[in-house]
This record gives sequence, C-alpha cells and structure tokens, in this order.
Amino acid sequence: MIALLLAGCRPEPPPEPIPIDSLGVDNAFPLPDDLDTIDFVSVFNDAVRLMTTVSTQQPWLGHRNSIAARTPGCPDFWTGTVEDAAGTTIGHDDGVMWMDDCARDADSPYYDGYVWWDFDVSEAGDPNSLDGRVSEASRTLEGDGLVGDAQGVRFEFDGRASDSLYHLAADGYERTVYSTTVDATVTGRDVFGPDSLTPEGYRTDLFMYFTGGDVDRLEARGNVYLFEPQLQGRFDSVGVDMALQGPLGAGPDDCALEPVGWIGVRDADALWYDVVFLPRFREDVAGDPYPNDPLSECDGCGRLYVQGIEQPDMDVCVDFSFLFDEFALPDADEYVLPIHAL
Amino acid sequence: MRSLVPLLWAAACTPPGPQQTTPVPTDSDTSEPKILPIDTAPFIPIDSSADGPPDLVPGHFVYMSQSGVWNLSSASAPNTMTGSLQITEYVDTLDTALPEYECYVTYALTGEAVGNHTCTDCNFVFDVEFYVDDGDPAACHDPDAPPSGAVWQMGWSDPDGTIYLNYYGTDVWLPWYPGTKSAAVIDFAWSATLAIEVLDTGDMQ
Repeated sequence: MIALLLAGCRPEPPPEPIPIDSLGVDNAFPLPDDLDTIDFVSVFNDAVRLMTTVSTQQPWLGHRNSIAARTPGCPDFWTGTVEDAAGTTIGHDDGVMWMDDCARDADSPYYDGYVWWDFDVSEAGDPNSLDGRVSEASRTLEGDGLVGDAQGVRFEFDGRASDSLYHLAADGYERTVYSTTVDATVTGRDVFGPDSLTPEGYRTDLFMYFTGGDVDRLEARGNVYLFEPQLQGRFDSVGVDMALQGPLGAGPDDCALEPVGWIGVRDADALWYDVVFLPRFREDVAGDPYPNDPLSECDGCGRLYVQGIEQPDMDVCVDFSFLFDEFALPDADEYVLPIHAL
Repeated sequence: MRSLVPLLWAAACTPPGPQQTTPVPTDSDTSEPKILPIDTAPFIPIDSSADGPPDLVPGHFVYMSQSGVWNLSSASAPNTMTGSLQITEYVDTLDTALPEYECYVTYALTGEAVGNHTCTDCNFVFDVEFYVDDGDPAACHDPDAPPSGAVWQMGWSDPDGTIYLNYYGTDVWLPWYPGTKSAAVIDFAWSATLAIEVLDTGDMQ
C-alpha cells in the first residue's frame, strides 16, 4: 500500500527554461559586438600603469606650479581657519592656505576658491653607514580651488590628498614605505602634460600602499574616473581592489605573478570589464576548498567578467612585472613648501 | 480501510512547501525600458559672471617679522658665530605704547662651522643652535619658528646676500633670510604677511 502511495507522488517536472528571445523584450544591456576583438591584455596593462600614476604627487605638483605663477596679492595666503560664506570651516590651525577670487589682469592667472596644505619632512644620517640615512615626509592638500588663465585650467583641485614616505638607505640595506590617498578631482595642465596618461585629469578615491627595497608589496583600492575615455580611447574608469606581493620578500605561499583581488575598467557605455585574480580575502572564497581550482593558480592570469557575468575561457594575463621597478616614488625634497619659499 | 485510501492518497500527494503563490503581475508596458541616463560628458564649469573676479580682500592680517644678527669670528672664513634672532607677529596694527603680540620670541644663537656640506652657493655654513631667551615659538603663526634647542644648518652666500637654510636636513637649501654683511657682522631680516580671520568675541572696547 505504501509503495502504491509513493508511486503516485511523482513531483511536477521543473518548468522548461524560457528563451529570453521568445519574451519579445529587448536586452537593454547587450554585450558589445566586438568583445572578442578587444585586446584586454593591453587594456589592463595600461589600466595598471595608469593606476600607479594616481597619487598625491600629482595634485601637489599642480599646487606648487600654480602658486609659483601667482602675482603680488593674488592669491592671498591665510593662516588659521576661516569660515566661508556657507558657514563651513576651511583650513586648519597648522599649515597655510591660499583663498581668493582674484586675477591681477587678463594676462595673469586667476585664482578662485582655496587650497590648504601642510607638510612635515626630516632627513638625517649617512647612507653609507650601517645606521643609514632616514627620510620621513608627509603632506596633505585640502581644497576646492581653480587656477587658470587665458589658455585654460592650470590646476583644479577639489577634495583631499595626502601621502607619507619613509625611506631608509643604509650600507647594504634599503627600505621604502609609501602610502597615498587621493579623494579628489584633479585636472589642469600644471599637473598633466600632453604626454600624461590622463591629460584630462580624473576624479578618484584611490588608496595605494607600496613597500620596496626589502619587501615588495603593493596594495591598491578605489576608483579612478577619467571624465572621458582616456584609456585606449574607449574606457573612462578604472576600479581596483588588489594586493600584489612582489618577488622581493615573497614567502613560499605567496604569488608574485598576480595579485589577489581584481581590477576593472568601464567603457563609455558604462559596461564594466573586470579581471578577477586570486581571492582577495578569506571570505571571498565561497567554499572550502576553493571550488575554482583553475582560477586559483598562480599564473598571472585572471578571469574576465563583463557586467559581473563570467566570460568562460576568457582569461586575461596582466603584466605586473614592471610595478616594483617603475613605481614612481617621491623624493622627500618634494615635500618642502614652507612660507619662506613663497 | 478502503474508505481511508483516497484520504491517505490525497494527504500523501500534497506537494511540500507552498503551492499557492501570489500571482505575478504581467508587465503590459511594451515601450522601451526606462533607464536613467548616464551623463558621460565631461563637466566644464562656466563662469557666468560678466565681471572679473572680485578680488576678495581679507579683513585682517598677521604681520610676521624675523630679524637678527650674526657676529662672525672672522670676516672671511669664520669658525664660530654668536648672534640673536627676534620673531614678532601681530594682527593688523600694533599699539607701540602697549604692544600686543601674537608671538614675540627672542633667541640667542651660536654657530659652529660645518666643513662638509652641500650648499653650493654658500661661502660658509654653520650648525646654528637656537636658545629661546623669551617667548613661546609655538604661539607663532610661522610653523617654522625654531623651537628652543633646535640645530639648523644655515649658510651665508655673499653673491646672493642671503642666509640659506638646509631645510630639516633634506639638502634642499632654501633662501631663508636676506641680509647684509659688513666685515664680520651679518644683519638679516625677513617679513611676510598672512591673512587671518579674527573671530568677533563680542567684547566692547
């Protein structure tokens, strides 16, 4: 009897999948027709190079160059805090700020807004000794300022940027630690020349942490919006969350060929293309063991995702080998910008 | 028993889980999907003001002055130096009868000649030690007012008429004080003006 009862209990078969084409609905976000022709290796190599140029060094350069072009009384330099027309306190007790809305004449640069800065730097010791020479420097820019002239924008900065540098050079030993965060809009020809990877500037919240000399390591996290498709004429944004262990100081379980994390680019149609490498964090691993063995190999390659959809058999192998040799580090000298130098 | 079979069969064949679900509404809208437009155009601010910049004029200023003297052990190749430095800062106007300074600091200076230095424009360089005789450098608006006991490497350039500072050991030699040298004495002075916001305390003068 029981068998009879169970035999009559077959579940309903699952419904057949309905082809999306039969619904009569257009796919508003189709994959690009030329997906197979995009040279993603070249795109992501350029994206990595572009990313490494986005640091506090750039707005600081623009700041130095723009105030070097000042005219007497324009802009005014301030000490202390100031309450602006909107009731917002700008500036700080330390540091110096230019704040104005001025132009001496039509041929002179105009300054509109404010940029506050502060820095700290010290160097001591002999690099040929065992104790070595230690350089420590830090600086911060805050502002909402625009400097320009008849030829256009010289320097635009809106936001905050800061970085810090530690460098130890001793007899037979070297160590560098550099961290930078730019949470700002940065444009202008005082920063970006025609040979720049981003001549039109960017808006970014990128953080990078670099160590070199004894242990190579780079962490990068954030976004860079390029206003226009400045990356290979097609992509206008770079997003990243990755950490790469370089060959120096790598442990037996470290992968120096590819990072953990991902890097993505966005085209002008707002389609994101991400390359996903090794899992960034433990919680990124959905199962234990990691259920995607081919992608967890240390081979310098990651899987391409378009709009978050995995593209089977589309692995992208990005060249990170240049990073630790070519990452542009500042010199402690560049941090020096006191009142006496104005 | 026979009468129970249909009941048992019906009870056993009830599929697990909820069977009745809320009907899904049918989307009868056949028009194009409404997608928020994404503005990918670069934003170029346009100053709509017909007039030129108003040249904002600060209401208050801090007048900063630093002056002093180096007395050299010899005019040409001095080994040592003694001297003084005075820093004064005040806002707007100074009542000479009852001066009220933001910062008033006097220093005694001593210098030891430095043979191995990187100042290519300097005729001679000292390690200059600053002793605060009076006042508090921390009250000064110049963040580079030397604290007591600080030792700075400073050099004199005859052609430039300038005392240079090796800024915190960076080997960046900044022109720090313009000066004049007469025999074994160098007088120097530097001044700057910064705008400052003075809070209205509501006090009636």
